[in-house]
Amino acid sequence: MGFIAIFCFTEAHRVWIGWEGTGTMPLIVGGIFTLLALSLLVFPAPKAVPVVWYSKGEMFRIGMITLYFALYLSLMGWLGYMVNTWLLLAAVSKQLSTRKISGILIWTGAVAVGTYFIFRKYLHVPLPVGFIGELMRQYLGLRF
Amino acid sequence: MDTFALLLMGFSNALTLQNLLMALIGSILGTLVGVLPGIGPTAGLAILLPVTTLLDPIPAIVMLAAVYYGAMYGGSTTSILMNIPGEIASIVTTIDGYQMAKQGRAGPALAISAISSFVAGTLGLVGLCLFAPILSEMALKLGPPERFGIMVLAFSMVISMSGKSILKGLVSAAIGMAIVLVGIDPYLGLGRFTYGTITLVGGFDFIAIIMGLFAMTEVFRSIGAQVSAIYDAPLRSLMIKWRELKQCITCMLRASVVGFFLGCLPGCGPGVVSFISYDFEKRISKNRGNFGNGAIEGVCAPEGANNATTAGGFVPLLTLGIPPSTSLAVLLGGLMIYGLQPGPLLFEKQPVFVWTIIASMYIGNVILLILNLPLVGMWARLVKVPYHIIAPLILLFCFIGTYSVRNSLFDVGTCLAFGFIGLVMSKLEIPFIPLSLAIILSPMLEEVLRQTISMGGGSIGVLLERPVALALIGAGFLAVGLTLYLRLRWARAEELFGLEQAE
Repeated sequence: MGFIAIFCFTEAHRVWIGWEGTGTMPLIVGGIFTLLALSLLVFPAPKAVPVVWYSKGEMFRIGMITLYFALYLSLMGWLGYMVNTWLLLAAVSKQLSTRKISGILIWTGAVAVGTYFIFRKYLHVPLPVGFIGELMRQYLGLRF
Repeated sequence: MDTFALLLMGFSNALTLQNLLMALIGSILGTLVGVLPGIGPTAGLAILLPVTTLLDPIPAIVMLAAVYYGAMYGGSTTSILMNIPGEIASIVTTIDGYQMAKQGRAGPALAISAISSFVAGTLGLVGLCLFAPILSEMALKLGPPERFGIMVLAFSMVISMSGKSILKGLVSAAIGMAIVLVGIDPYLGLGRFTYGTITLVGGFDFIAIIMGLFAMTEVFRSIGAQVSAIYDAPLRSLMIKWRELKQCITCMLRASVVGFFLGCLPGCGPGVVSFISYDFEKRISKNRGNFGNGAIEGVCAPEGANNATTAGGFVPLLTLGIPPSTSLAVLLGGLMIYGLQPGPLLFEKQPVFVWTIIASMYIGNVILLILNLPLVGMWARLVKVPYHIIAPLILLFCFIGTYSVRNSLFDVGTCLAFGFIGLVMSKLEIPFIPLSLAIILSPMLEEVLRQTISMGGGSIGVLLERPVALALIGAGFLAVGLTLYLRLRWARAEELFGLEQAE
């Protein structure tokens, strides 16, 4: 907390142009963090209950989902929303169940295509089309 | 003509087939906008604004108003069922709503949300009819110092929202205040905490943080714990019991009053008001200990208040032309497209228009109740859907919800990062709510503080000349003091009880 306070004070000093300027709020927030840090020094937690962190199994499962989501984000521009989302949903669903992949691929595919059309076509959210969309546009004249 | 006669005239116009149809379409679309995360009422109205230009002014505004209050209705559904707040006003609903869903009481939670929204929305409209001119004059007299007082009072809620440890709640709020500092200062255009990176210039998106903290964290936690469904036992009840409804009647009335009167104030959008209403209810409730663990009043109060706020927000909009929230600013744009200039003369010059809109809102509330109550059972069964289906869908909603706000993958990354931060915070028992509250209130506090300082010529001394502002600040400190005193007394009583038991 002391470090955050120092960051806030430094930033407040950098942008300071007076009390009605940009630096006021960083100064206040820095002050709050300083007070909190001091109060922790003066009143340390009396009976701190030891924190039980996540087990190895839990960490592994959470880590896998994070990996899928991180891959999803980094491949979004290349694979496009539809294919990428299909793969993410299928991977997450497969990890959480023992069902056959064929069934999973069908429902996840339907969700990916359905949400793409709802959000891109009707709500005008510019979801990435990826290389498949580009190829379809170039060679088949289809615009998704 | 008196108010009642004008309202009757409004009803006769609103009950035409075209206006009824527009209210119905608007209500359905609004509910969808509320249910879909990320597409909040503001975005929903902005998307539909061009479509409504094809219509006459009255049906167009009837539809836009229906979208607005429909979104307030719909926002609670995903909050209760999946811990995903559909829009800002539904963040508080997640606290007790999701707990109720996890206890197999999603049905009563959804039902009380719909009923409370209906009651408070209707009472708010009664307030709009009766008090609009008086309230608009009063709201105009509140300057930046008074609004600063309101913000201080609102910030005092952090203490009562802190859970077991006040210090942890304060740390959480301070982190929230620090997060919103990142990005361009909206008044002077100077960058703060950007460190020369373009990505940070836009700051962290609020929706991304909220989705990360609430939805992502919950998915991570549930996947880690290998849950098979949000609720894995036979559902206890799909409909609300008469006893529960009776328990909530006074709560609905209080939420209506709080929501309506605060909704009349500029800057007090549904997001802030739902927090205030929840906190108020928690302070006065006999079941204070149940709040946070699935108290039905914890769903009733914020849901009622945010719908009463939508009616309250129309007071400054129609009588002064001042939109108290961004959603109503879009609606104001809709009015102006048709050459209608909201202000003190609108009620005199365009009585047919104003009273038809107000009457259509009464009808819209009834439509929403009829649409939502029968669907409660269907929605409630969603908590039984296997987690291997629900989890990927929540992740997808998180992606679309955060991406669609600014079309930025950085925001989606922020959401993921806050999912992790949420995991750590939950293990350290640091509550999320003070952080969310600080993220909503901090920019408003900064705005009114800087305006107050400017008014005082570089000094905050102007506050001393404003008794209302001083009273509000005093009330804030009093609320903090009272909460601390009650907590100490409660802790001492628990300690004594423990000692007695040991003896």
